[in-house]
Formats: sequence, structure tokens, C-alpha cells
Amino acid sequence: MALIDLSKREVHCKIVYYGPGRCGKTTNLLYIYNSMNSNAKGKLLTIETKGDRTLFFDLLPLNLGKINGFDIRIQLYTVPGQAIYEATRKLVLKGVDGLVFVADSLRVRRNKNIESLKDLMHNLKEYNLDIHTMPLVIQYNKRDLTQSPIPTLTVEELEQDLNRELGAQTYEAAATKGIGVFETLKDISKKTVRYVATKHLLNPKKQMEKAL
Amino acid sequence: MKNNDNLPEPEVFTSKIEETIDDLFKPAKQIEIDPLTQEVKEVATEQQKVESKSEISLELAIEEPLTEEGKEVQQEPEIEVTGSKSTAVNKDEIVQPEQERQALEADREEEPQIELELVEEEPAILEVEADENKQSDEVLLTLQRLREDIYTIEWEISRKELLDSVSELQKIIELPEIKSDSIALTILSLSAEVLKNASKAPNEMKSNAPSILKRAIEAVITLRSGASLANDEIETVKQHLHSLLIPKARKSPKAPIPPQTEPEAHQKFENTWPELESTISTDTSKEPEWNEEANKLLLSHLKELQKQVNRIIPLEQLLLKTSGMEKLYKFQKNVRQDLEKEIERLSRFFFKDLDINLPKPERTYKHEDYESEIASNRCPWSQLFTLSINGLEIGIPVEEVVYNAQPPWLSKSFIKKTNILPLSKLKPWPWSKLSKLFKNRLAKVTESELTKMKFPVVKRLGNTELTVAANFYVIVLFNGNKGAVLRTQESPIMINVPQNAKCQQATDGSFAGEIEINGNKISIVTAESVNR
Repeated sequence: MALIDLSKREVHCKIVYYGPGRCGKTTNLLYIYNSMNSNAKGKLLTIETKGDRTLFFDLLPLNLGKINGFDIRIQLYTVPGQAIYEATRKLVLKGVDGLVFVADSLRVRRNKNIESLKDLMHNLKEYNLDIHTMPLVIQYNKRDLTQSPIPTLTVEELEQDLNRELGAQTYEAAATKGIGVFETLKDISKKTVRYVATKHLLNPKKQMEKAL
Repeated sequence: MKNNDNLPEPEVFTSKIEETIDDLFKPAKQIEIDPLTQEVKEVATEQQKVESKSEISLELAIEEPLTEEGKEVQQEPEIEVTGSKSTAVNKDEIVQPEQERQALEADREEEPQIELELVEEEPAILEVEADENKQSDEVLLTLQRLREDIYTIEWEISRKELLDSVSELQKIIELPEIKSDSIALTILSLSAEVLKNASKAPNEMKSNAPSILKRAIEAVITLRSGASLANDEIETVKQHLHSLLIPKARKSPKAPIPPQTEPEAHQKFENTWPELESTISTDTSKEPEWNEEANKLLLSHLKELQKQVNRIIPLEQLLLKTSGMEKLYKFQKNVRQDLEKEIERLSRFFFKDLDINLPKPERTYKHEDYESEIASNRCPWSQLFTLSINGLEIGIPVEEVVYNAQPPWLSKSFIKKTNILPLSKLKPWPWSKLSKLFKNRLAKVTESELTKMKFPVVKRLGNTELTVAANFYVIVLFNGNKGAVLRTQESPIMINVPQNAKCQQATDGSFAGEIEINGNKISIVTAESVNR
């Protein structure tokens, strides 16, 4: 859940990049961290293990500065995609405000995408959260590989597999080159902040008005 | 309730946030990430390349009259008319290749007059201004880096982060632009003092310290970027920083420490900073015992770090020559390099005047040489089971051996004669579980699948006929697709393939290749090769 401290006038939003192992979640954060101006970002905390895969999670804090006297911060997290790290994935999802589902365009990863999305829905349920009501953006990563001989999925296939029911905003991306990375980030950040503000700031105001 | 009165209108609030997101969340530079190694490479766009070249040649055009002729600003008119224009053209023609020159000229066509005027009227002033801007940009960049460090402290207070920030601050304070700016100097000195105190006991750092530090750095950035800052804000920042230093003053047994004046604060920082960087040569008179002890500890720590580096190197070498381990190798390499950097940093920092002896690796290790050597003569096998069959030395890759034992007495005579061995015949007892008998690629195969598996028995290897002794051993090979059974007179011995082994792979015949270790040739047998 977003942390809103009215006395300190601070708003913290948590966005989690979710997806199957090796789909490019950490690459998204790496790209953001390395290409963005330093005035809004903190340091990227990342813990890697065998084969450079994420073992625990990555965290990139972003600070929007003061807006209307509120200090707005966005924390970007990734989860370890590999199936065995289920407990960690679930833990990282705790208190999530916005989600980016990063799907792998490689054809061989088709089932992993679907499994990972199901896993996400299942884990959200554990926290009484519903993917349909949460800010969600789907990123189809590794689109640059469509030009290579490696078999890839078409956008239609990805839509059919992952977004048929959700109808979420989607972005085609090649995270290693930065294509679609900031578009995804901007969209999910806006959606999340709007969601958090509406949920936590609008309601107290309405309640006050009703009371008066 | 009081706070709720000041709640912003959500619509206005969110639209402001969205604007900020649009402003902030964009790439400041073009980069590319290596998908395998995750290395980040900066990519200059074509436009940037042309722009940078244009800037370089413009700088040359401006600098030329001054550097060559060594004249002062007062002598501008003479220089610029005769020298600068012609030099610019000449330089372009000499330095730029034809294509780049055309691109540059195309750029210049857009604003030819302005550029020429600038060059003609005030070349020296331009240069000075450019220098000043450059320096000011550098100061701002350094401050922004520091701000990044402070943000990190906000997320995680650790001694390393605190020391990094102190070190960064020290560098900034030494800059002449900061030294000449008393307000910035005071704020930064106080910040350094706070960080330095915190680094001694990070757990005791006040919870509001990071936000105060951040505010202080923001204030300096605002000042340095030329924007005005209210006196109140400056005073508040200073007071807050002082408040973070007060607990230390309270600990003082007698008279409370009077508030510091600005130069005093800086002086104090300069005096206390060496505590952190305490080289052997400084402060030994004041605290000789502590210094000696600390130096001993540091030295032993450095030796321990070097020892770990020396331990990593062989592991790194092993990973490098093992196929499929490239990423783990890179991971180890990064760990080693990080440790080496840390050793170097600490040695330079604490023992810069001393020649310290750290344990070195036994052999001088040149990574690039080694990598190229391995690449040219890479052995695909790192560990082998070796044995002799009728004088022929053979080696089987360890990962392919799924069973290696004497046959069960129950089916010994069957195995001795058969050409095809069902794995179920290896059960010691009819009720035994097959799944417990196998390792490597058969370790996780289900019982029912194992029961169905049959592998051919190898009767000949190259020109050597395989005979079966009375007491024989059974070695089952399996590579995931193919399997084979060897009946040998002796139990194999496992060896590690040394780095200097010469390897040769073969694609036909019943051997997968040959490996030469200290002059002894071993023929490699795999499940694939015996099934050819």
C-alpha cells in the first residue's frame, strides 16, 4: 500500500516490474538508472546471483520533488522471475501500488509469460488485490529480436495470451536499447500516482465535505 | 484533521505530478545495455557527433590566436581579424575529413554571422566564459552526484555510503569555486561534519539527518546554479545542521561548545577529516596506540581481502574454461575486480606513504592473455574418469557417467554376455528402486522411465577390442539423448583437467577427442562418440 504521511506530507508509491525470468525487468531499471538525470533518482540497489540473475529484487528510488507541498517518491522494484523464487516474489508484491508486466517476445518463452501472469494474479489475490482494478501496464519486451532469425511471438499472439481479458495499455519495447522503457515508466507512474491520490487523498477530502 | 484542511485538489494535484513525470522521466543520454553482460555503453547520436565536432573546431578557432601568438585580451582586435577567421577555415580543412567538414559547414550556414561575430569580437572573453561555465557545470555535476549519495543514505544508512559521501564532500570543498563561496562552504563543511560523525556510528544517526542533508545539498545546488535563495532558508539549513551536531557537544563533560562561526566550522572539518583518512604519518603523536592498533587491523583486513582475491583467481580460471559457465565466470571476475579496487582504494587512502606487502597470487595472472589462450585451446572437459583398457588410456567426462559400480550379483552373468543392457538389470534386489542408483542426467528421471531404458554395450573402442574380466565394472554413460554401457576391468579414477592440457576434438570415430596431459594422451569416450 502507498505510504502517505499527511503530517510529513510525503507520498510513496511502489511500482513492481513483474514477469518471467530473463524477460528484462532488471534491464528496464538499469536503463532508467543509467540514462536518467541524477536529480530525480537514487542509487539502484540490485542483488545478483549465479548467471547474473536477480536473486532477491532490484530497487530504484525516484523522487519527483515537492508538488503542492508533498514530497512524491516512486519506488521501482523488480521480482526474481525464476519459478523457484516464489516466496520472494510474493514478498516484493506486498504493498504494491502499480504493476508493469514485462513479457518476453521469444516464442520459447510463451508458456513462461502465461505462467508468470497467472502467478502474479495468484500472488495478488493473497494480498486481496485484484489485477483488474490496479494500475497495470504490459510491456512486450525484446521486440528488436523480431528482425532476427530467432522465433518470436507476434504482438497479436502476445495480446491473445496476456491481454485479452485484461485490456491493459501495452508497449512494445527493446529494453537494452531503451525503446519503450520510458514510455512504460511514464504511463505506469502516472496511473499509479492517480490511483494513489484518488484512493488516499480524494476519499478523506470527500469524507470531510460530507461531514460538514 | 488539521492536515486534511490543506489537502490539494486531487485532479490538480495529479495533473501537476503528471507534468513533473513528463519533465523528469526521460533519458538524458542515449545508452545501450549488453543483453549478456549487462554492461552499459553510451551511444552518441549522429547529431551529437556532428555537434561535438562542430564545438571542437569552434574551440580551435577561438583558441588558436591566443595560444599560438600568446596575446592577451587587450590585443583581441589584431588577433581576431587576421587570425581567427582564417585559422578556423584552415583548421577545418586540415582536421576534418571531407564529409564531416560538409556537415559542419551545413550547420554553420544556419548561423554564420553570429558565430563569426563571436569569434571576431570577443574570442578571449568567450574562452574565459566557456571555462567558467565548464567549471561551474563540473561543480554542479559533482553536487548532483553528492545528492545521489544522500538519496541513497536516505534509503539505507551504511558506513560505506556515509564514507563515500564524506569523500565526495571533501572533494567538493577543495574546489576553488566552493572555497570562494562562504555560504556554500559553511553548509558543505557542516554537512561533512554531520556525515563524518554519523560514519562513526551509523546506527545512532538521527532519523531526520538524511532529509536535512538533502535540504542542505539542494540549497547549495540552488546557490551554485545561480538561482536566489532566501536568507531564511540558508539560516534554517545551518541551524538544522548544527542541531545534528549538538549531541556531540552535550557529551562534552564541561563547558558547552559555543556555536561555530562559519570559518570555524570549516576549520573544524579540515582538522577532523584526517581522523578518517589517518595515514600512519598523521596524528601519531596524539593517539599513537589507537593509530598503531588501527593500522594493524587495517593491514590485516587488506591482507585478508587480497587472500580472498587469490582464492577467487583459480575458481575464475576454472569457470572460464568450462562451457556454460561464462556468466558465473563474469560474476566471479566482477567480484574479484571489486575487491581489487577496494584494496587499491584502501591502500592508497590509508597507506599511501608506506610500501605494504600484500600476499600476491602465486603466478602472475594476465587475464587477457589467459582468455585468449583458453579461447584458442579451450578444453570442453574439466573433469574426467580415466582408466586403462588393454593399454589404451581412456577418459570419460564426469558429467556423462550416470552409473559406475560392479554389477549386482543377481544379473552379473546376464550383463557379462548381453549386447543391450536394460537398466532394470542393475537393480541389486528385485524390489530396489532404480531411481536411487543413478546420478547426473539420470538422477531425476522417474522410476517408470528408467525401467524402460536400454543402452547398447560397447564392444570395441577404435581398434581395441573390449574383453570382459571375471570381476568387471559397469560404467553407464548418458548425455541426455544417448546412452552406452562399458564393461571395464578396473574402476575409473577421477582427474581434473589441468590448464596446460592440450585438447583436440573429433567428430568421427568412437572417440570424442584426445587430451594430452603432461605428455600422456587420453582418448575421450562419450555416449555420443560410442554410438556413432
